[in-house]
Amino acid sequence: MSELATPVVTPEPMDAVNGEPAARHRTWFGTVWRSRNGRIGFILSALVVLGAIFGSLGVTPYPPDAQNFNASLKGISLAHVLGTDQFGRDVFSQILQALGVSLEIAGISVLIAGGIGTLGGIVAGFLGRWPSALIMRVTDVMFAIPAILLALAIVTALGPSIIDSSIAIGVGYIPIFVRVVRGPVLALREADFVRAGRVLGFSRSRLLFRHILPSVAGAVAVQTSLALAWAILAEASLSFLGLGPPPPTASLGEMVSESSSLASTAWWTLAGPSIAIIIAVIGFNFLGDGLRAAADPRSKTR
Amino acid sequence: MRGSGGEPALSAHELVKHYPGGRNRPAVRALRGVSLDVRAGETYGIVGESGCGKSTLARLLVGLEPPTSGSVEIGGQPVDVGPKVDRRALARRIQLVFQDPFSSLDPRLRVEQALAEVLQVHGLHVERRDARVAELLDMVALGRRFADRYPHELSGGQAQRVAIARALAAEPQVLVLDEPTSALDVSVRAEIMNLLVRIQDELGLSYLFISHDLSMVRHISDDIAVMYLGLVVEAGRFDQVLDSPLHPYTRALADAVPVPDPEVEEARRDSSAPTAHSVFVEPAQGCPYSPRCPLVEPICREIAPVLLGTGDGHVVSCHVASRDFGAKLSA
Repeated sequence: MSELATPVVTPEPMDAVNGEPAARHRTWFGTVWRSRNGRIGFILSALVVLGAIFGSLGVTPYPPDAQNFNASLKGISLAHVLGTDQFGRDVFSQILQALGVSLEIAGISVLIAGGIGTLGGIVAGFLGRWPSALIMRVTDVMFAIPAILLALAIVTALGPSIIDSSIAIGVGYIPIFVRVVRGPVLALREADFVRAGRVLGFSRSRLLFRHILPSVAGAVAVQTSLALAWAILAEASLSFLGLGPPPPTASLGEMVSESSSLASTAWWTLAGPSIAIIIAVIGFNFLGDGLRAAADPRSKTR
Repeated sequence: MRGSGGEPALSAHELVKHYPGGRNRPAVRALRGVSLDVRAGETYGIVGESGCGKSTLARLLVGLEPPTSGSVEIGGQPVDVGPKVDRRALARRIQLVFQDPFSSLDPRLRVEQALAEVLQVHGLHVERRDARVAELLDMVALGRRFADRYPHELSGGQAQRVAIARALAAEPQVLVLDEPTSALDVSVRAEIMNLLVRIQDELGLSYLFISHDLSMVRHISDDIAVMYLGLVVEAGRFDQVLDSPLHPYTRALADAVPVPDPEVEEARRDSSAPTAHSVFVEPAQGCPYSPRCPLVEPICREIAPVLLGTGDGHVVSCHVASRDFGAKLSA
């Protein structure tokens, strides 16, 4: 016979987290850092961004364009950590500079995609009815065309330059932001806490900017990080096809394209920029993963 | 407290709400003409099963949705709850406490932020906002240490207290409570109910208490209305409706309340009529309850009954009950 269970009236859980109040609420960064992917992503992204900044400012071991025919096609050495190309230019210095170009294009394109896409998603989600229908149909059409194809078409029409490449890549990613934002906005508009806000007399703009948007911000941050990774890839693809910004501004894709013919004789000239692309893509992807966790308010505690 | 007269704090007149149908769904008549008077400082309980329109009624009264027709008065003055409702003004007069406290609180706002926001929007207690937040927490018996909690760090009971405090922050005259205890653990329900009674005594608030649970309504209500398919089928003082129910649906509801004695419960279950048919359809004509009613007569399937008074404020909408009662009176 088992014991008869006595009915126990459970009191409401009292202060379950007595003490250590400092650890209770983590910052965004703290939450990102706590996950393994977030940590890796943050470190790699930080390296990429730092490298890009140094490259753009011209703080490189060698001037990236300095030719030195006495040192052409030298392998990896202490003097040239990633070797030199056929003109004797330092590959590492070139990568830093190209990283700056690639990141600039990726950043501007994500700014375009994120800005227009988020706005479109908010309008489609919050206003409803025909603005929503219009925006979503346009989005559907854009979705039907592969982003890289769209970018190819646009860059062919606009011509190659940093700004034009950015527009070409950015436009392709607008629909993703529209969808990522619209869904939650649509759901949150009917959420009880938004209804409660309406009953409490809150204005529409307060509900949108103070209650709905902060809840969407996490999703946008995640998407921004992922889009950066895609944009770097897309930019590399365009440049590889010869549709990147014209010389002398070299991007990572152009470096890969130029060095691909040297792959059998001087593998480092291909490996360097390729690995840089991989690091950047993985870094932003993992960072997005870490941000995903941080976007959930529940994960800020414990 | 019970029995004070005077101007009703909240009056609804013939509220109707129809949701238009679509291609594949019929139109829904969620409310088909509901009138009620909540007396000042008292609690008006509304009981009915899910789908009877009680939550629709709550949404109309607080201006979340415009009624198809009908009017609302608060404190004797007509209020516009139509499409052009002035939410800011309405918010100071009537507030709503939702069923699920967790979904009705913004997960990103700490308790103090949620309370302070209401004060800010309505420009209340500008000079002493923090003190007022502390007062509100005291009012719902939550300590100061809850001020910097996020909703997910609260228990259900605590979160519902915060939701109540937030509604009180707007200083309304009427509080609509839409199943405020249904989402909570049984052990916490009584605490919340007692809290609501205490707050009503302290602030002189009027409550519209909506529930499917007769025992909860009994605990707190002065007047009670029983709703069925968008209509009030019986209403009166709480003791009239609960102790001498006239409508067969009210009786079925009363029988459904469990008695804490297994033998009584057993005997009762054997004797009670099988009222809970799975028939939940609205008949084309006649009394809406007729498909489920154990007392149904031919007239019930032909003509819809109307609310008839018994003379002392107890009203019922039932051919059979009205006739029997009339016979009793003349006898």
